[in-house]
Amino acid sequence: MQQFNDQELVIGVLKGSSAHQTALYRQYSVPMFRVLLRFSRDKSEAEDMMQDGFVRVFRDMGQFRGDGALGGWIRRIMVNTALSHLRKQKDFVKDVPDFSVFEAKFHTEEDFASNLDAQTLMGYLQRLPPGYRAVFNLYAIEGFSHEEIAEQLGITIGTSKSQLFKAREYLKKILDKSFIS
Amino acid sequence: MTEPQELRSIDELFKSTFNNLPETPASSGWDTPSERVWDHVRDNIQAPRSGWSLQSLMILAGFAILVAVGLYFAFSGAEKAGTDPVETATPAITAPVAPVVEAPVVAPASLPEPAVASIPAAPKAQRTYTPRTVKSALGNTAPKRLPVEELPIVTNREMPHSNGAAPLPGSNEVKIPNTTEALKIEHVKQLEILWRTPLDFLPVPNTKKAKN
Repeated sequence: MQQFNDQELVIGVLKGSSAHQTALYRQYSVPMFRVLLRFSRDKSEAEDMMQDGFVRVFRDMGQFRGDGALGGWIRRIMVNTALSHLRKQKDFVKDVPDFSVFEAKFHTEEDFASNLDAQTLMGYLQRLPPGYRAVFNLYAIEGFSHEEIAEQLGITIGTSKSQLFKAREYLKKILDKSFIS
Repeated sequence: MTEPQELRSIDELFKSTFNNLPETPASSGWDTPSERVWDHVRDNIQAPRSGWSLQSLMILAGFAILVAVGLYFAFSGAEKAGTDPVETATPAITAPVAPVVEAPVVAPASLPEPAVASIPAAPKAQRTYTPRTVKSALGNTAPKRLPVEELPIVTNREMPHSNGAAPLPGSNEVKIPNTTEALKIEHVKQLEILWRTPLDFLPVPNTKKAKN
């Protein structure tokens, strides 16, 4: 596969070059898919988000001003796409009253892996309720403030804080179980 | 304070793990999207271009059809317009011919007698002495038309059929008065009367021609 730098990719995509389109996708598909996996419940949902996200990337390439990294611009589009998918779910911020509901998603001992690699942690995140998962991702990993999260998700700041607190609580319990096992 | 520290450590654990992943995808393939994603993306980003080309082709085809239809009607209209003047011109050409033929008839007095006789429409010249003319010249002295009962009867079989078709059944016995023969007889009688009556002020008619 031919390698292009960001500027060449942008110009080529704007010209409609299929080679540049393919190269851009191949270059950014894996890191963007990792981002979307964190916001989704499984790989299938992440692929749906990624499809929409890359269509938006190619469609809105003309809006890229080049004042930042192309990867950062694409990542913001992917996160926005994931949030728009999340907003389509009716009550994505509803509370899960009991931890047992969350814990029941871990079926085997292998789910509580002692080796906390990326794939294991991704599995923990994907088992979180959608609202918990989104707020934790935005706050802990993407670096959003509660005000920004509230604005992005259309919720109150208090709801954002409570969702983050419960997400952490759930993850802590799961991690404790992992270390015990 | 220990709890926030623990929570922050959870945040840090996830953040450091996901932000420091190797560039190459995992061998297990958990972080690699399936190929169908790119297929769908490619289809979506190429669809507008192909749709536009299809749309442009359809627009061009529609324009071509419109032009063809317009040219067809334009040429068919021109053909009609081209045939109409010919048709109208034909009577225009023949119209002046007719007066040339009839010109001597209109003014017979100015022409010599033989010239009038040489005109092919000689029967018309004879008709100037028709019974009606004689009748108007004689006034009430001219005999009236013969009654229908006195006229010779000619059956349908004796009359030539213009179309050659056989007469309708039951129509053979119908007797139709032959007005032509009656007119001839009447004409002869009138001429005889005219011949017996000396009239100085009238031009002497050519009775021989009239008899013929």
